[in-house]
Amino acid sequence: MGKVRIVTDSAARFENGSAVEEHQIEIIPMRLRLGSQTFVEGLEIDSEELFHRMRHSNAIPTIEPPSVDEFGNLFQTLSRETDQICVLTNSQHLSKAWYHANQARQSLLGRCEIAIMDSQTTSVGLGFLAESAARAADDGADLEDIVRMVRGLIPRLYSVYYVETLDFVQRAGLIGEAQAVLGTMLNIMPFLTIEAGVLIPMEKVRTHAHAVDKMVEFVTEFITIEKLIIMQNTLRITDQARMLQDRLMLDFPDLDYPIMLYEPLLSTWIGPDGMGVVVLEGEDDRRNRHF
Amino acid sequence: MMMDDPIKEQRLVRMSTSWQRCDGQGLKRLAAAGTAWLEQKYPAVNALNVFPVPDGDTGINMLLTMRNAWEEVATTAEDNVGAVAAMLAKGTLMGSRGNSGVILSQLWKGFAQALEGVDAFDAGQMAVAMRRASEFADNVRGMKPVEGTILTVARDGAQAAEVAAGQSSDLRTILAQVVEEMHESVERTPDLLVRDGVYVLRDAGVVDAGGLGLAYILEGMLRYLNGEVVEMSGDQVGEAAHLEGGIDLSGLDFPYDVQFVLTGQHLDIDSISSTIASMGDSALVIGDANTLKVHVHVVNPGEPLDYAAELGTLSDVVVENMREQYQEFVLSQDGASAAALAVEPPEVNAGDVAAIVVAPGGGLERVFYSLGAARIVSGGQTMNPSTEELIAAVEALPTDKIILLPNNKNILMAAEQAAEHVQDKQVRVVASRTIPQGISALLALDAQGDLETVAQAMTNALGQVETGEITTATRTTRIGDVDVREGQLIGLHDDDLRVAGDSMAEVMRALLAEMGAADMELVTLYYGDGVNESEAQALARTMQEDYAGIEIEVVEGGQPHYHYILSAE
Repeated sequence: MGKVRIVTDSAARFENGSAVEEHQIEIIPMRLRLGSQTFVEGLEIDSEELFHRMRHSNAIPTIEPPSVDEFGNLFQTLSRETDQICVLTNSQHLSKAWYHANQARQSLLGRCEIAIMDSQTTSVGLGFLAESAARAADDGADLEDIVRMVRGLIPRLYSVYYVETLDFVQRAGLIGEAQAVLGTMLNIMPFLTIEAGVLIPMEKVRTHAHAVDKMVEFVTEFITIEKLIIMQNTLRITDQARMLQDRLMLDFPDLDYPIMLYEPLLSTWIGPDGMGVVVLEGEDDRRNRHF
Repeated sequence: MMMDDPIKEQRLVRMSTSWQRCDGQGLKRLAAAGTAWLEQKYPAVNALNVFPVPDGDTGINMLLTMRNAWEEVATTAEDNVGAVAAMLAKGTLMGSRGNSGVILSQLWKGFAQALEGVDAFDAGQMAVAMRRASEFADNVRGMKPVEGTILTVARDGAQAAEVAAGQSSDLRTILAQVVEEMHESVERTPDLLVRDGVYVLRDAGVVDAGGLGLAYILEGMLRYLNGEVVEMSGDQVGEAAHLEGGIDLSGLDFPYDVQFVLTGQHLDIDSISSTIASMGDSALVIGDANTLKVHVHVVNPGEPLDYAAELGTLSDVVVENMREQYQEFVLSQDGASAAALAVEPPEVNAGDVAAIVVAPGGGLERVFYSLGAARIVSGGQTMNPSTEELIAAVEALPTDKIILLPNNKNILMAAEQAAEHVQDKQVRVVASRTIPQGISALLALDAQGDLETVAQAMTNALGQVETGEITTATRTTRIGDVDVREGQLIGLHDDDLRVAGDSMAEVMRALLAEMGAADMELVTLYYGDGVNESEAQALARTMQEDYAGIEIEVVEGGQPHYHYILSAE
């Protein structure tokens, strides 16, 4: 009965602001703790404000995923409208949302078909998966079809970021303490990619010009690109974003280069001074990725 | 080590009026004599730097290369000259330091090739072998040999040998002609060596250092044959063989401090003492026939322990890695908080791409480790590691995908030679010529990547940084259009001398202008071991006044010779 309902968590970001309402995507919120305060993500604090606070306070922000009970309650509610639910969570390596969702699923076994899918990403990649799933659901696809479709989309999503300040990536265990101290002195800005849901440090640069070079290098490895989104900590068009757009337009003239903010979850890992790109690879690419 | 009978030798040389054949032991003597003479003359060779910079090392590199060759043959009783030549070739190959050391090893290799299977060479065979040596070294790199270098001197010497062998069968006569011709050839090098249209030797008022080093080696052999060296004392060969104690170049070349107590019966103190002494440095054996306390600095701690374990029971065994202690000591001396950090190299897993970096120790080691270098090779006294040291570093890593960053144009050849001679691993040399290039390349390291791709990315990164170096001029000269007075501060841009001046601020400002710093984003000052942090910070602040838009970082480098190494990107 009813179409498949799509659930995702508040780490998801949507290029198309009305997608959530249009396709009735359920967003289960995560909580952000900063010092003594707790905010419900999306409702009580947004990225830009959070980044500002992160820069000016010593407190370390942490994300609390939705609890097992919260997932359970949502499933219960949705099971009145449908007997098929597709849950897309941010990567299990970035937060415990996926684990909690799985545990909550147990309580509805037999009564409702629930697929819990680890998106292996976050942010706009997660949002894209949720939106695609929701459109398919609107078109009458069943849970099995949707799961298969999402599985096919996940490997086509790529993210790279570089960060200007090292304390967050050091706290996240992505670089060592000594590297952080010397790296700060040396102006090192490490690149990170999300591979199979894990943030992996890659090459480093010392200047913004080289960072743009690296991002251009990364993007031009692709043969066809369906979507590209520039992720920043501000919505202004920065010099780097402009340089990136100008250079990429030579190779990919038909693409838009929208700028979006990355979300609090990712910032608890990489800090408030990051920039990156998320790419959805074209459908029939056989690609030899070097980056 | 075994000493040969010096009296017998004197008889060999003095009593025969002509020396027709040279066997294995004869070649061994010649190698010792050549090394011993170079031991006396190496400072003069070191001083022949084209640039008036204090890190001239050709003399000492060639000496250390020859010393390694000597160590290969020191204890051999082999009579077959082909076999001894092969040992010398192997010793120079492994011990080769600096480009001149590598070319020297190539000359020995060609020489040994020609003598394969030969028991003792005569004049004709010697000329053939010298010609083969020259040809081998000329062609081994697949590039046209540069004229006015050690290769020219080797070729001219081979030519002289051929002519002389046509007229005489006395090896001494041949060698005399060779040495005379080689020295004349050295004198001609200023008129031959051209780099970028400039007669660099002539303008600098020097001859080619490598060529002179080679001439000295042959000259030492000749002096020995002429009885000079033999005449000095009965154990002249002993003196040559005494190279281990001759010059204390060891420093931390024997990095392990081994101590133990040996308990036994009828222990022969003298015999044990001399055996332990031959294993390394700073040997001390005290006690009596039942209990001996032994202390020695060695390369391989197993050696003294295995030896002593055969003689009795060991107790209170202590083995310390002095290099580590030295590093810790250096780290604890510094005031800056970053300096007090113990930076450890990253963990390397099988299949990772790992980078081995040559760096002169101190702060730069910390920088390279923090950037992900798996291993630093420091190269000892001359900062030029030997081929063997580089191979050892490659073998010691638990992966088979290795990148070598030499960070100095005088280490490139040894690095390439090391890469060639490692059988079971893939090694790529990324040809960094300066420390900043090495840092730029290392930033492009992706440990999980594919070796060729990573090597290419690192090579591409080399050109993304400009290098500056500031040191004190060792002589008065003119380089290009820059007049330099001895004692002045000089600035080099990408190894080109561009600036001379009397104040550090003036020189640094001019050098930064040469480097095009105004168009860059980031300048880094690595201060050397004679500079303290507050000086460096003050200088950076002064520079910042002229370069308001760029970021200037100050990092402790701790490098010798160069007050500052600068990078701009």
